[in-house]
Amino acid sequence: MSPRGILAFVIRGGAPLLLFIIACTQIYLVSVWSLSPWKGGGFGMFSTIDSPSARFLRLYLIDGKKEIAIPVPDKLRRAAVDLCTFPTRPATLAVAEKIARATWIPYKLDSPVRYYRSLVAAQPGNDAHEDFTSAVVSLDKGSLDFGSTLLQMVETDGRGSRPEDAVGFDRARVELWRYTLDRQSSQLVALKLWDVTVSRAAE
Amino acid sequence: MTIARRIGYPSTDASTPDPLHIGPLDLSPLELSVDLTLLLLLLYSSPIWYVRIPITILVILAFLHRSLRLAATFWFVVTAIVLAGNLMAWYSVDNHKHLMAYWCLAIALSLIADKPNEILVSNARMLIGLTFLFAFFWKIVSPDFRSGSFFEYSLLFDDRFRFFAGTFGGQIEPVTKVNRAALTALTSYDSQLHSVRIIQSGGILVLGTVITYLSLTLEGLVAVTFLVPAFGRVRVFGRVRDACLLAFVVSTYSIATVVGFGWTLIIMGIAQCPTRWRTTRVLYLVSFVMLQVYRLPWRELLKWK
Repeated sequence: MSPRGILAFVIRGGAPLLLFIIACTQIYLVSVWSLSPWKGGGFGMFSTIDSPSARFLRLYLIDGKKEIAIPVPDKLRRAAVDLCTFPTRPATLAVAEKIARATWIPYKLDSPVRYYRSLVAAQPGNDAHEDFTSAVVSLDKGSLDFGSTLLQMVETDGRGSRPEDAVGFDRARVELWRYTLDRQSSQLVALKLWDVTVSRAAE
Repeated sequence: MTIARRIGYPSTDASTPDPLHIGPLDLSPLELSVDLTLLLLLLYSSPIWYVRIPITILVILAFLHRSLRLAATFWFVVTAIVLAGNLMAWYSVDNHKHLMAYWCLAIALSLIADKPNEILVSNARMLIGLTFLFAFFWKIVSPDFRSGSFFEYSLLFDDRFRFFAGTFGGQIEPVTKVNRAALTALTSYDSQLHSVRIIQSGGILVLGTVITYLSLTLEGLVAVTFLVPAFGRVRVFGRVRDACLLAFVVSTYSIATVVGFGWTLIIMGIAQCPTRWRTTRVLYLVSFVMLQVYRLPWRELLKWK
């Protein structure tokens, strides 16, 4: 084909050809790499329940035989969404390693007023050294009952002391699930796609 | 030959009406598409800052400096920015952002062609046809779409379908509340559940099946009517393709108000619609506006009445 012919082809068919190539690539990625059909340029939205929002993570800290379920921390929310959209083993491992490297402490609730007063009291030169720390309610001991331990992630840079109430664990597990609708039984059914367990790094 | 002559820009003789009185129907497909695409890019380009800000600046420049609208270089730059944004977040960006990129590329390529309008018409038809072909493909191969499960699920859990589920499916609020609690329980971070039972009325099952077949039929028709004439000299389907596309846009985007997608389809529809079919062009423009009307909070407004 002459250069003029190639140019004419590109002008006439370049955009549709690009759509075709990307859409075919998306079909491959969905079939082989579990990309959500809703994404990737294949126009599979509204064709299946299996959208990124129908996939979810279950995260665990493991200490021997004991397992503690943890919510997705804010710092990992973007990574979790990406993982649900395009779940790959390296991405799952990356999330699991971040969880394993972090320090986990029980969630604490505090009244904004008491928190403010405690900060003011802690200012140098302030005479009012009233101890407000007792005003902080730990969810472990307080009146709020979630039915399970609610932990929050604290990232440390390795310097300084570890918080006293840090939860001990030796492994972290990330499970990727998706749900679907079983018409026959009128149930939403959760199916595990895979899970990854990593050891906590030695301190 | 200047671009103005190539696209059939009105000549400046005595019979030419005052430019201020040239309406959208007097514009060539390329000119009208370009104007509407600029509006699309201004309002619905991308939430990513390194796409949104440069595109907004470029669109403003094009509105201020009219010659940019029909400059191929301008559209190649716009395409490059939109494509780059899509590439950086390729697996998370919505599908219509990909379609917008292809459309910008089609405009850019048509502006370097000898017959810009003809190239734009051909590209618009192929892009619409291929979009619906792949959409139809995914629906056909998806077991939960074919079985009706997808639309049942959407009627039960997707807020956008709540009105339909309540009005035509007999789904009542207390039942919706239980179903949502079930879903939350299943996906909660500390859940050990593998399944939860949901409640659905018989009307939901029927409505889900009806919507499934209607959408399959309509999308299949759009794919066929736009692709077949594009690959042959046979002039079939004529106004049928526009009717199918308009029916799809008006019905679908009244529920799933993804205006960026709807506008992109309408702009491509206008681009490939012959200028002598004024009524069809008017209908496209009306639907362009209707998609914004759909965004009004009708549920709250009607409750208030």
